[in-house]
Amino acid sequence: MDLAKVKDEDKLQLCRKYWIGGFVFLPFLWFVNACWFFNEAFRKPAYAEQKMIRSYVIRSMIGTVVWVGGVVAWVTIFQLKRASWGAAGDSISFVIPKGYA
Amino acid sequence: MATHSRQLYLLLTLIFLLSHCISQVRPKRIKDMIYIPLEAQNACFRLLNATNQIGCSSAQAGNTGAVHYMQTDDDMDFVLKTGTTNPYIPILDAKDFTTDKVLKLAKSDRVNGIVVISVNLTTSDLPNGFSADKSCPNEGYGNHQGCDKKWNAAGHGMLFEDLDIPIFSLTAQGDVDKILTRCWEPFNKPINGKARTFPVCAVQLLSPMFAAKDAETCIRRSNLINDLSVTIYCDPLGDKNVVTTLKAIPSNETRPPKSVIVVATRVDSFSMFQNEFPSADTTVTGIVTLLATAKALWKLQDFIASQKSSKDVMFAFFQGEAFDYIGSSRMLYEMKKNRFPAATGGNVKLQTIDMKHIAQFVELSQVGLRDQDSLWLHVDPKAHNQTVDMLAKLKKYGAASNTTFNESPVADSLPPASLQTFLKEAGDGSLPSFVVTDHKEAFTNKFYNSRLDVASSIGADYPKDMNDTNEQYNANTTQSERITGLATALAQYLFWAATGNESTPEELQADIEDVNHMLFCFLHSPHCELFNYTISPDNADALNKNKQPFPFYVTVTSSTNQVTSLIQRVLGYFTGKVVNGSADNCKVTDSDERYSYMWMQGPMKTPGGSREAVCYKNTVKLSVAESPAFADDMEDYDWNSRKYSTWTESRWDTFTIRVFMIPSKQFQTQVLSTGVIFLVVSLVFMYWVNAKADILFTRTGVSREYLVNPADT
Repeated sequence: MDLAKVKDEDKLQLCRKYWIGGFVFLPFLWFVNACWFFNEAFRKPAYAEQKMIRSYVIRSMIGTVVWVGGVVAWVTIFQLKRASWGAAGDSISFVIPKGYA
Repeated sequence: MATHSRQLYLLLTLIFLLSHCISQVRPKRIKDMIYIPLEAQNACFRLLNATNQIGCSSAQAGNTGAVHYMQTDDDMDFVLKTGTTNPYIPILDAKDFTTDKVLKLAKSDRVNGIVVISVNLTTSDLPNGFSADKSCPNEGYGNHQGCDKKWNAAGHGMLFEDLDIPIFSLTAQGDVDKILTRCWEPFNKPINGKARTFPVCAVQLLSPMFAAKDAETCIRRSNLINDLSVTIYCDPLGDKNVVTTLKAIPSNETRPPKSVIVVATRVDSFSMFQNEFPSADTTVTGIVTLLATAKALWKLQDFIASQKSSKDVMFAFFQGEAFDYIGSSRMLYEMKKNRFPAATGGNVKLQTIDMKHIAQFVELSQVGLRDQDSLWLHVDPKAHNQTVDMLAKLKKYGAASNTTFNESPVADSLPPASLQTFLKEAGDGSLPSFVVTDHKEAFTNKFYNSRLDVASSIGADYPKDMNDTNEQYNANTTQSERITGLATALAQYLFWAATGNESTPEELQADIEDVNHMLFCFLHSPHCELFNYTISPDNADALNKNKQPFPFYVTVTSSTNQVTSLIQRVLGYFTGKVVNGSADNCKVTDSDERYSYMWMQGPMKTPGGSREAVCYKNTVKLSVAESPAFADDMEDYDWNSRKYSTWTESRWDTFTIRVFMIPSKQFQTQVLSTGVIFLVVSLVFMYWVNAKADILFTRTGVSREYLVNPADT
């Protein structure tokens, strides 16, 4: 969709939907929202809906960062500790490597 | 029109010539031009128990290193310190494959694997002995705790180290030639003492194991379904015990307490490498003696069975004993559950046997290499008083058949033996028992549980000029004479122990011909008359494909080992009676489960001709020999209790070994960076071409029609 052809109020609706959609464990939606509306929020000349769009974009960015931080932390802990968790570690692993503890 | 047909003719001729040329070309794949594959399948693999992983494994993608043939101490220094073409994979002669050298190499970062040459192994390669086992085999699982007596002095526990590198053994001369004359000599061997530089010849060893850490982990993972499929990481070690009882007491008669004499030996051994499990003294001497004894004793079976007060004699061949007494501990477990021997629900079953029924326990351990020309009787010190008469009788019968027995002076412990399992259960001094061995104190067998425990080490080999297999099959050897004497004495002893009557050596004489045949079949070639006679016609082809003796390693529980089946067959033949039958009805028909029926290929009608199959009825049974730790009805086994064996074997996909040339790291980096630079330059160039396309490619307005051949129009 080309945002240039969308009306300003529709842009706000779209940005808002993406922001809300991200709450159902869809951090990529926030990431896409932040990228897609970045220009609208920060680089376009001011218009009525821009303030709200900017707010949603910033919130989406924060959400993305929190998610990335959380995922990176979990992956790191999981990779380092999986072996020492024993049975619990195995039961939450999708692929168990061959030849390693 | 004429020109067209000439063109067509020329084209067809061309196609014909081209196709002819192509058929002459032998296309060669690049893989085949790079690698020389070796045949060896004899790799060291990984085993796991409750606490450890032991043995070897390569990385999942294999381990590669420059070949270095180790001949002097300088080579050790070169590989471990000074050489510049590291990492290395040293090639060792059999004589250098000692625990200290292997551990030293395996622990170095500069060593990626080891290859050992094992062509035509003889015991003279390692005069100080070699054993892959610990100095106290099965330590911690017997009746005596601790390792106060180093029974296996040659053992330094090489297999029980977690080596974490691949180790291969080369048994084919062709493989050795490939690695030494086509790889080491032309490319890696120093010239005038000067080490070679890259490119050098390397070897890749691929033996990646699936399982890791310990048995509990790998069994648990094998039971998980995480990625929508089941991956088996490891399997419990185990097989079947072979048992037979002389009196075949049916389930409707009572079996009095203390009325069964157990006479046992062990079947399995191990070594470092897949396919190399010879076990001549470790177990074959015991197996052959016990089979010969059974045949001798069965001559008076009718008499013994007819005596109301006589004791029953149970022959037992235990599997998996080398790995913390798997077979005997499982038999005892079944006994305690009151379901030994196992029955399937026929009207008449064999009366069950329990610990309380066992009157005495006689075990044959290694009996081939007699210390001071005598056999040695090891007695549980706490049961010593009850065995005085027993030992005296055995000595007496021994003297009559040229076999000397003496009591071992080791007062406080028994050697590793299946008896340990039963003593642990019986309690102090309540089971009269002894173990017959060839060693007074520590093992005389310097190759216990090793790939050098071969026929020549026990004097069961043949004179150099005897090459005819028929002659070898029937030849008396020093070992066969000794075994015959021992078997005769033991048969007489068992007859006395069962009935209280005396016998003459003639009545219970073991047959030296049988002993010769068994030694040949187990140690030299399974493609022999005895095995061919006893085997079922269905398995004849499989048997005759094997030129090498069958391995004595217990392996995993999924199928019955060839050695176990053959012992079962030979025992059935020795102790059975021929009954009328055909392939279809040679089985239990009268619902009397005490008996087994074996359909055997039988004797040859004419020499070298077809065979006349026969049906043998006997009381030989197989009983499960999987550790109770893995039994179906075992719940919440405490893995660290050391009560039962927990050994498992890791699975693997492939054993591969191949040689090829490798360049230096520097050269490899150069090639890669050249490629990357070329890629970047061409990208930049194409970007530039694209950007300047208007200038570079001027449109001339030439139509495509120009390209059409005017001759066609």
